[in-house]
Amino acid sequence: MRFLVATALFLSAVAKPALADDKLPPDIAAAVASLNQHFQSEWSAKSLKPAGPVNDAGYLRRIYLDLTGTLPPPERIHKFLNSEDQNKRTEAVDSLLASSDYATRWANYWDAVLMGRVTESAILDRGGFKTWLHEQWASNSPWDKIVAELLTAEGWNTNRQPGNSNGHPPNQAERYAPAVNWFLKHWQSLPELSSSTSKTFLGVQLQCAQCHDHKTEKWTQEDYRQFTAFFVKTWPTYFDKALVVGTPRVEVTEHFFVPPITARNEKYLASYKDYVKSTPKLLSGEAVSTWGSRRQELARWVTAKDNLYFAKAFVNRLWAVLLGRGFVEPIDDFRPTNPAILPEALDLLAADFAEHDFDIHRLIRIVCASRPYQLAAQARSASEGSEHLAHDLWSSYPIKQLEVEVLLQVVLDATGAAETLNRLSNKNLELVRSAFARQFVTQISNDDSSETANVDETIPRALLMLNGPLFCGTSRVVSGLSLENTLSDAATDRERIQRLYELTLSRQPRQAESDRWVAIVSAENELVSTPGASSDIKFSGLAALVPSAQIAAAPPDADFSELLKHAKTGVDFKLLYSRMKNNADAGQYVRALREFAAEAPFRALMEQGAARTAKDQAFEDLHWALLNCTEFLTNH
Amino acid sequence: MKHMSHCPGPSPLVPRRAVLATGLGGVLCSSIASWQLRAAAQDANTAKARRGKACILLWMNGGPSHIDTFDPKPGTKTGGEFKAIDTRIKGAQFAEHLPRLADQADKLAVIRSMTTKEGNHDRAGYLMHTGYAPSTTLQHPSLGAWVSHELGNAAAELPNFVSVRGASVGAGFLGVQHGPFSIQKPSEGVRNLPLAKDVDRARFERRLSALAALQDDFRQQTGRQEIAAHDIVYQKAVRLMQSPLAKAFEIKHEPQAVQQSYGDSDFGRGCLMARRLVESGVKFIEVTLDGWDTHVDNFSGVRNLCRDLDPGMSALLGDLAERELLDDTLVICMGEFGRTPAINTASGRDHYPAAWSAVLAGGGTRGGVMHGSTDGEGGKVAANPVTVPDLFATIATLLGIDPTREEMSPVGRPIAISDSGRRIKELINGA
Repeated sequence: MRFLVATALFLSAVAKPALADDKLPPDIAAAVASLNQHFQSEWSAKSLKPAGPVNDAGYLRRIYLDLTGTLPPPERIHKFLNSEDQNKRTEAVDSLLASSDYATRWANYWDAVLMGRVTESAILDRGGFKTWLHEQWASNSPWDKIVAELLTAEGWNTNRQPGNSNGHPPNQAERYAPAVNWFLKHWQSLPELSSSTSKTFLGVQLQCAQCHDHKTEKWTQEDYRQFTAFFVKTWPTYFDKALVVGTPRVEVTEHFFVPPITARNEKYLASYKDYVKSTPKLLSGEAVSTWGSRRQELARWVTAKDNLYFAKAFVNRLWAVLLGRGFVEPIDDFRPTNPAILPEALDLLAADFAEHDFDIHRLIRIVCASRPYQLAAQARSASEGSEHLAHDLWSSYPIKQLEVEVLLQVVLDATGAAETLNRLSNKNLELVRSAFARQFVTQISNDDSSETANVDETIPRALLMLNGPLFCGTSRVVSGLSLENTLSDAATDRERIQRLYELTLSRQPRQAESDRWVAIVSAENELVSTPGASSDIKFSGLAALVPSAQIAAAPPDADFSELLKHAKTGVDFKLLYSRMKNNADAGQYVRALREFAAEAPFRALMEQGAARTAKDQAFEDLHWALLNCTEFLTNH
Repeated sequence: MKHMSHCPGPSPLVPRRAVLATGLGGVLCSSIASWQLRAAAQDANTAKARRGKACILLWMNGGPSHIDTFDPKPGTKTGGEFKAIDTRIKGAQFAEHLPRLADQADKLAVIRSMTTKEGNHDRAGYLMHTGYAPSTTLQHPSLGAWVSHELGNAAAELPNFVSVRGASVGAGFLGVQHGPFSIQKPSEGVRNLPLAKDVDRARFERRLSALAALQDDFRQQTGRQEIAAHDIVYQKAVRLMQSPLAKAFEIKHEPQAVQQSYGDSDFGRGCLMARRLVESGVKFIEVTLDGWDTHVDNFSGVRNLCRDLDPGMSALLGDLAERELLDDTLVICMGEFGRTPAINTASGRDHYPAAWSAVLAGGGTRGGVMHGSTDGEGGKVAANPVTVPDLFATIATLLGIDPTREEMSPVGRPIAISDSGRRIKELINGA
């Protein structure tokens, strides 16, 4: 035993120089080195032996999932494993940061944090907001700029014109400001604006002070009221009247005065009433000039380099996403009575982030090159006498659940189903994605929070994966899917197995694993074939051509919600689209279409093609099992 | 990570391989399966004796017009076009499209004096599900999660909280094990429960053993114990696939006449499923009827919705009473708010939290009661205003849950099912 421990120590000592930080610019390398040094001394002080370094295949999979929410294609894995370049890890991070998938993944993440996956409100242009987020991450906008825009944006919520509407606001194009959608999500409850600001951007929970003064914490009810007063001169005005179909045009403006609350607008401005008389005051206690824009004063203070909370909150969140747990947990609850674990490491990263103008790429480069991020996901061995520690101080890499958008993407990557689903959904894969995410969080996992790294699994989720069309459909031998290509392209079973491992687990099978599957796919079994699908509804995907009888024959004045009950194919939905008369119809329509889009294309896959031999079915079973296993379903 | 405490996970005394074989691949092996079937059947027989209280929430999503349902104002400026009809309660009337409920009014306690402050769907929906206004610090548990937590059986094969046709509010800080198990289409039963196309039991078993081998590989590679959580949930899912109790989700086993009495609608089928689930020991079922957000064409909208509500709810109450389940089953019918007395230019009514109606029945509710009232136009509470904390304290009391008992939330603030409300004695039998 002692010999084994000694060997392990020796190995980790040897492995250290292999960490590729050679190509890092010197100042990044310096930041990484001091971070590593800090971790090393904390581990030594607590007698924690860090896990060994993650191997190349493991590192590549990790950065693909974390930075882009995708899996590395097998060709990329080969190239990476065969490269002798000392700097290949650094280069891989850099090329991912420059990819469009990077912007997509973080736009998804921030859209869920800022707007919620299930938020519905007629006045929000969710698509416009997400496009704006994508642009911010694609151009590596500094974090202070992004937040300042969210806090101060003025203008129109959308650049589109809803159906049944008359005319255009003259300045809709030049005053289009998609970031106002964040304001519009919260404006009916003014305290939500101030509490989201402090929680999301500063990691500080003010809400308790909304109702009562807390004995031990710093802020009082009056502080809260005064902080909320920063938003009170800003409110929206509607251009479109009721009865339009789609997002009505709404303009957010910051005025020079507080709103006059009248009997007519009281319903909308009810939550402003408590704050119109308050003088704005920052959480730091400073009063601000009452002449200029209140929100700009607020943004200046929130995003200032000397506002320690601002940099720390972002760093803590990013660390939690990349390394499973924040220094402070919950990640947005900084307070004296909830201290950080390893506060110096958090300070070090936050100071670097602020000093370098909130450059998100730089922060990610540092974290991805750091020792904790480059460790293997191995459990501490039980023989080290350190079991009493509740926290392993990141001395091994965690096993992280995937966010729902990432989960769907990696299933598409591993099965090659994106193109087929795009065809089946009439080139509407984006709708399928958002519908799936929404259904998943509301009905499968019952959890709308995007921030928890360890989401509990549920029985409906397990049933979906065991029997549902998501896995059973995408792992079939259907033309165009990866499995079919794998079976036809590779010459031997061993090669096929290797290919399936690369597609799903992003690594090559070990000898014993390969041997086992070769034996299993060669076992003699009967070909299994069951007649039809279990449901009597024939799903034909969104691209079906023939409408349902009830819809085709419906009179022009037929009740819309009744008709919607009969919508079973894509063409039904197309026909019904033109029958919507107002936003109440549109709301029902969107709900029904989403329900349909989340399932129908996958079900259509399940009904297409089929394995023709028992051996093909054995490969389907292997592919299915690979999709269901923890090694595939997590980032580790 | 939250763990289901009744599941011990793999024992360190048993070789890993063996545990896994039983955990996934072996779970379908015939001897275990038939043993489980027997145990489950016995469970079902004894369930009736120790069932205890249960609750069904009929959720009227969108906010129903109180004036056009349970608090009619015929002949007034704001009364709208519906007539009022007599009910089994002397002097109390319902709007004309609820005839079967009017005939069962002796079972109902109608609160005509609900008054709240939230007029936005999301916020009010959260308020009426949890008893608290939304907060960005804290996810409050919904009523169903509280009931699962207080009355549920953690080891039951069926979930303790089922939500039919709609996204309910989740379990908040009580943890996902108390969250709703969602049924999307009552006619389909539990989604993804049957084996997939071209998969029979033998093939499913082969799939599970392949999966068990992969889990084992990863466990050996990493030595991480948390991998077991995945296996435990899969094991429970497979158990549900095999459980005879899962038949409770299949309304096709009901006689045609019974199915018809609930009405030909997904809401009606949901009510029927709710009755079957209560019989099988499920503690809380929420059934959603969506579409009450009648800003436009309120009257045709409400007429259509009542066509679903009236048969569904009245058949449910009748059935529960006939089976002697009504005394132990609290039925609640409400939405997130009422609608304006004023009728807008699109013949619609808008959101109105200041005065509206909610209905309770069964579970020890005093039947045949009209509690509180609104003024002549249905715009203000005229007598006995009922707040959300009072309503939740009353519901908790009826279910035998102490409304003042607190659970500690993660932010260190203790939270009770009712936010310091007081039960309403007039609504409780024998109180």
